[in-house]
Amino acid sequence: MRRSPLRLSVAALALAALLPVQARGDSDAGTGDSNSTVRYGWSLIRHALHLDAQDQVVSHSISLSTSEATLELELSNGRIRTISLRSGHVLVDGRQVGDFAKGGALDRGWRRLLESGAALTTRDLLTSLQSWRVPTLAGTDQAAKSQLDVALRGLDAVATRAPSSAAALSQRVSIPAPSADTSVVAAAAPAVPDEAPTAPAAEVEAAPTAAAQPSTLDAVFNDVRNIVAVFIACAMLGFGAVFFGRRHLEIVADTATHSFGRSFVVGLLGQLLLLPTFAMLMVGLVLTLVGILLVPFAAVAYLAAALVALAGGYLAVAHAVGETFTRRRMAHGAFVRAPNAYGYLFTGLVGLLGLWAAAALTGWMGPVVLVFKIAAMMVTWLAMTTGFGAVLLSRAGLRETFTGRRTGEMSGEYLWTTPPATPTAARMNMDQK
Amino acid sequence: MSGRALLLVTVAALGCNHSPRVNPAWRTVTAAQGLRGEHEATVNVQYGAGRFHLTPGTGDELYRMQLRYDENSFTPVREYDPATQTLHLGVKGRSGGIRVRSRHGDAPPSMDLALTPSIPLTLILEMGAVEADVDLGGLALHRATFRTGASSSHLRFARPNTAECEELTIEAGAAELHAEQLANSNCARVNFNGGVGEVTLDYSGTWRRSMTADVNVGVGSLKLKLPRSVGVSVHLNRFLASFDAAGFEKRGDTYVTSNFESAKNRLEMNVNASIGGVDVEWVNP
Repeated sequence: MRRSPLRLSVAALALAALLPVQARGDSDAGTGDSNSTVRYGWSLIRHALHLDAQDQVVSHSISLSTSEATLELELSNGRIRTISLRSGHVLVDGRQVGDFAKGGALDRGWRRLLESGAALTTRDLLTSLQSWRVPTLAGTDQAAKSQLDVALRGLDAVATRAPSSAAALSQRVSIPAPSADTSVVAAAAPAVPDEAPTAPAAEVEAAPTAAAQPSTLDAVFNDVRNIVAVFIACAMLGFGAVFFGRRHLEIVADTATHSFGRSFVVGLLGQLLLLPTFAMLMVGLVLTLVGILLVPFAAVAYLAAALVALAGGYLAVAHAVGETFTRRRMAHGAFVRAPNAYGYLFTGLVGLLGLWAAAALTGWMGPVVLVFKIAAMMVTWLAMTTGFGAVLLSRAGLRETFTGRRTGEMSGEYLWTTPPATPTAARMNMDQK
Repeated sequence: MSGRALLLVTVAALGCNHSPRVNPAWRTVTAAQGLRGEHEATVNVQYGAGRFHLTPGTGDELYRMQLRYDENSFTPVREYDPATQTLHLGVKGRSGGIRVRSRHGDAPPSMDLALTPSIPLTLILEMGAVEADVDLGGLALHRATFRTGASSSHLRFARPNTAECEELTIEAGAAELHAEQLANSNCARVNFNGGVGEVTLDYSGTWRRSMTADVNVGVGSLKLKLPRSVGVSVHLNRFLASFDAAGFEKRGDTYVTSNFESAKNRLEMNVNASIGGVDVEWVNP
């Protein structure tokens, strides 16, 4: 909406005129500070000039007790406008905006209004508020009435729509500006034409529909955001694994690399046997009297171990993928600044999650995304299964049997320059024996 | 008796006390909400203690509620989720339990509720130690559940349900419960689970479809008011409970009326009664 310079000037002038009034009110009440005064004054001016959108009231609640008379108006944006006369103070949304005389004309009038409004619909109640006048007001009561009028201004009641008449246009009731003779704000600010807009029902309908169906861009953004979140989570887990258990992770990764097929088969069988093993474990524990006590702990430990094995295996495969890719690049002469486990893991995760990212970015293209999604799911399952198998084969990174690493004593062809006195491992063992 | 009803009874029994030191601060709250194009809604009402009154409301308001409660002990609940079209109404205790403080001569706390007859509703009423008067007649009910703890309740369908209802479930703890004109509910299934108490299930009203009913009664008397024009079969499972079989023919474990095969509408009941008596009264629809 384009705001004219005249409007802004009027707003500035009104703000300047309001400040002393509000400050005086606060000092009288002994509460508030200058910042809140400025904010509140500005909000009043925005209301007065209709710079805010019209608030639509969807429901109301009237609460009466000996010490309090409160009106709550639930707005369509979820906020609740609370107007309360309590303990001699007028409160709007919990903030004191004035005082009133207990048992005075304003107090009695407000209570009578709310009592009669209890039987009304929300729309009729707003109409009743619109026509509310208290003729004999003076002093603090008059100022408080003005604040009540301001608080009620700019509120619309959305007409109720039963299903049978859903197609009909909404009829809304607008509360016009309070009369100038009872409004301090209106006296302080120059008169501005009341141009309360009346939106057609189509606008009211369109908002929730648009909110319920996010745009394609939003959907793509959400998918990408999820992928990035998963990547960050995996990277953090992986970096933690490298930091605290680098040797084990590398052994699992090497097992997956050098015994890929074996790892996959073992992982597949391991996945199939997860549940039967769990059931057997539980049954075995239950059959032993002492074991029954361990059942909950064993169940939690088993599930935790299985999850750690699956996640660790996936990270190890990511490490293996990253290492293989990096070494091939280096073999082709590319310069890699720091070829270490962190870099391998990062690269591998980028590779493994790349298909998911591609699926997220092509979500708007329709059926094409299915290809990427299926490919991503298969790659993820393959990596997880192979990693799980590698974890099992390497005994969680403790056994190097399938890593392809050379261990033990060197063969003779490598030892031809070694002096006879060189203590090899075998000889040392023999000597110790 | 279901676990939930037992819990309500226990909470109500433990929570009800009379404290002379704190005077109740009575507050009256009236709340209403217009319909905003909803096509159906779920209404969940929880009310712990006092008087409860439910009637059909006007067509253009989703609900209208008037509460009278002690604000020292309770806070009102009035929540509506437009996304799921779910409405929660009632009161909850400030300290988590239910405490009813009243002075001699004070009117008891109360809740008067009117619900829209314009849209189909899934209704869940959970009452504690409540004197309830519930008229669901004229509402459009898809499904309804009425749970009550230690209470005296009248549930009736004064007018026919304007929608087809899948199931009406009534659960009562230690209660005196009278459910009247259940045929007007137009429910395919009417279930009753009762703990201890005096229960009347009146199946009069306008029959538009056949019904099945599971009736489980713990300790107490159960009176069945059955229309003569409806074919009725009662599969009875009882333990130390009497059954008035007048008007029935016994076929194995099942008691069947002579018009069961020929009747347009049928009522097939499974009755489990432990200790007490099952009386049958034949009425004209």
